[in-house]
Amino acid sequence: MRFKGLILFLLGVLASLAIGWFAFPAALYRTEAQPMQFNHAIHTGEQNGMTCDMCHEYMENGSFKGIPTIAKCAECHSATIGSSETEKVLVEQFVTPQKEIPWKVYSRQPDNAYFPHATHVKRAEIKCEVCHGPHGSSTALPVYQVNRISGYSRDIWGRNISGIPSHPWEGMKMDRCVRCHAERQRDDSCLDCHK
Amino acid sequence: MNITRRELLTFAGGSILGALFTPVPWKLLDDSAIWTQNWSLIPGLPRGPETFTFTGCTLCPGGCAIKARRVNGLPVSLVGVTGHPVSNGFLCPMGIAGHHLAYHPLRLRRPWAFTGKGTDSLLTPSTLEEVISNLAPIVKDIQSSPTKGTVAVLDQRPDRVVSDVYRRFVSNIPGGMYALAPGSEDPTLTALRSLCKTAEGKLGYDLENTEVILSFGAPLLDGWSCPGRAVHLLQNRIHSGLRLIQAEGVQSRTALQADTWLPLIPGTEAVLALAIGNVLIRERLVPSKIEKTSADFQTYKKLVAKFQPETVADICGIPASAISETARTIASHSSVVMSGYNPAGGPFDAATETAIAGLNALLGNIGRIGGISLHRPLPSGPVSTSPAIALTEIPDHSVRLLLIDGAESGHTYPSSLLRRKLTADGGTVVMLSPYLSSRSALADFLVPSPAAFESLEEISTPPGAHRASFALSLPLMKQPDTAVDAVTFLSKLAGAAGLPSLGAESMESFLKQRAHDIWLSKRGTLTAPAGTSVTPTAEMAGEEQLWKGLSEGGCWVDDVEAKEAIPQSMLLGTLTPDRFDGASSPAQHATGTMRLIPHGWRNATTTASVAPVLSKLFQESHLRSLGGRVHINPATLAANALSDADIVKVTTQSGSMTAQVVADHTVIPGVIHAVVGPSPNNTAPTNQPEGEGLLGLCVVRDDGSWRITEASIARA
Repeated sequence: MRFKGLILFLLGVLASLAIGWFAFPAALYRTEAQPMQFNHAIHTGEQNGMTCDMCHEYMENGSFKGIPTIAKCAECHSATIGSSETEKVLVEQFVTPQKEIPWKVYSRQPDNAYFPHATHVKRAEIKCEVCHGPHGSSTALPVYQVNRISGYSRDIWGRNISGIPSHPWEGMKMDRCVRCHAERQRDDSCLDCHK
Repeated sequence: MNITRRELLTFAGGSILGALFTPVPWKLLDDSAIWTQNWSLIPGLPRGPETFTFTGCTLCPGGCAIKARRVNGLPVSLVGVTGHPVSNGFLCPMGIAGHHLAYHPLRLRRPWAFTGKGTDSLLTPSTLEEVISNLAPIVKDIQSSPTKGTVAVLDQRPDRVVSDVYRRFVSNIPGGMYALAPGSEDPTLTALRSLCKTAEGKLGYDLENTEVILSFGAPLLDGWSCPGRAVHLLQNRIHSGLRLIQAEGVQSRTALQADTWLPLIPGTEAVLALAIGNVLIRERLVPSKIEKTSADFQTYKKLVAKFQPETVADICGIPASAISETARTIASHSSVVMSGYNPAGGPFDAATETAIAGLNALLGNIGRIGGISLHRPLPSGPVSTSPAIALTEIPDHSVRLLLIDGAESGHTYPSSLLRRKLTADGGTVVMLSPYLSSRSALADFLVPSPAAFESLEEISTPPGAHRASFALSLPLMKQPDTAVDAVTFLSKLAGAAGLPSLGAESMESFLKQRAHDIWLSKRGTLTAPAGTSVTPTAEMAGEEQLWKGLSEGGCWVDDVEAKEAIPQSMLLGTLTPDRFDGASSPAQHATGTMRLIPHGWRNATTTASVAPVLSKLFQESHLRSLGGRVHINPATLAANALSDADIVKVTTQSGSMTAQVVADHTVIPGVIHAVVGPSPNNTAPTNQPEGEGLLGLCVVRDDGSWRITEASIARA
């Protein structure tokens, strides 16, 4: 056959492209279930009207507490509110025994990366949505996928395997930090973020 | 269908090309890089709530305040506390890495016993009960036969509450001695104390009101006293007008930052001090009352008449005009004259220290604002009557049992100073220390004490301070179960030896008693952590408020008494003028010999442990020199046919050892500037203490000084 070599070559290209773009991501990431579901919208919507910092607080010294502790949840959920299965799990498995919820954290970074929320939110006055998108109005938690090699969440790289974000808030790699700092004409030094 | 090898390779080629247009290579590159950060053997930071604790550093007596960031309770970073009344927000590199030391590879995690002495000694595991059962019969025997030798406790950081516990312990034993280690007190202030014995109160430097500091090699910007104090003052001198004149035989970091550097020849400090005294008297720059209040003024005047600047200029290497100008400068301003303490070289000889201290007496600096302050000691209840003596005052071969406290002064000294005090059979030496160090080789028993930030400790007045202060060092980590603090150890030993009880059951109860005494005095103020508020002690509701404030990281400081009370003082004290006879003529040295001067950085000498992370300072940046190196002027090297990085043999009458040469223009010709420093990357087996290094070559004189030793070098 005259074009057999060319066809085989193209087949090789296509096979790699298929594996690289479809099979590789499926093999690279492992889906893990969160310990329970969480509905941000019900908290921040019209019914309750809470703001982000009512649960994601700052400490007295200005540093960010991150994910609220179970004590914070217990301020409202010391007893079940409503009859949902999630509420039942929250109260019975975590609030009553005062056990912290082992959330799988989408934003967990390496130990050598330091990100001060207070500097960005309070000094630079950046809205939560700029980095977190519509997370505060979501009705369910996104699927948590962990990178089998690095051990970090897929959200660090971004949902798109190409690394090109579909939305401005996607991805939490260093290039995003650098780009944003450059846009805002912030001077960077290594020790600003790597303590 | 048959597939040929060519076709397979064609397919593979296509696959490789295709792979380049997928995320596979780039993503794998990124992920594998991150994967290497997450190997299970790489220690990771703890996860958990982030909290901050205010505490204080106990690595040296400087007492710098610390703000510790803790994650899940564990300290992960230490920084200074801005606005702190003692340390002014500064923290030295040792303090910044202080929380790493609990994990030091040379950490003692159980009691050990040395069997045998010297190089043949062998470390064997022991228990606290075994150590006590070995020591108790010795204490009992000393009680029944005191002529065979006695007990001495060596305190490297006096004026703590535990110091009083030591004094109580030795007061119960016939001939028991409580001794202060070299470097635990400022040598100029010690010399001044002997010159004006009638002065009441503690001596300190009122640097905050000083206009000129004349320093004879004091490492003011390199860890002196409380490091933040001098650095803060000299950093702000553009506003305050403070001037620093540094007389030193090497262009040290302090000399580099000084307004004037007088590069005097090492060993001629007394000559320079007496020549300055000559100018002060000749030009009538001395306050008139000094002539009347100093009993030995005429003797001093007669002595310094031999030290004309013009005649001694060649001896000390300083032009006569510079000597005269220095004298005029310190006389026309409120000034202090100090010698400091070389962390490895120790004090100058007694005659030199007296000559330097005498300048303060001659200028009427004692008890004067901006000079040498006389301040009240820390309030305390009745203390033990057992006197504190210098190590050098202990009679040779009189100590049968020596207890060495584990608190570091940050300074070191030759072990021969200790050895000569032990009885002829070598005595028994017990070291309380968190680490194995060069000094451990001297010990018979090693008792592990808590490391810094592992136990409740006190931070009392730093040496040279102009007012008393008190704070607590709050634990940031749990101490190992095997760690034993001094109070517990002494209580057990006293109980086993049948000695009276020491009076309290724990360190906390002793510290609460100290806080109670402060509250009763109604003196001073308590500064809250980070300097957010200041509360006078007299306005506090009760002693609980003071203790609570201290427990939260607050610092109590005494009021400064704004009054001048110049006491009577002598200029030479008990020293006779003939002690200076040799100083007025050029020093005679054997042909080919040089002056070996040990040098170290406070807390980084061989008796202290250094966090491995400081290898950045020691090896990568060369900001600090490693132990076992000798810095020599290139001209001296050329004269000896040596060059940089050569391995040489340094020989003194105490022995010889090999060292690596560092060609250094900042060292005066004819001097071997020997570094007594650590090896942060040392990977020697953990049961082998490092040697004393070049410090072991120094000859210790009768007055306990070892600053300068004649030495020769040759290519090894």
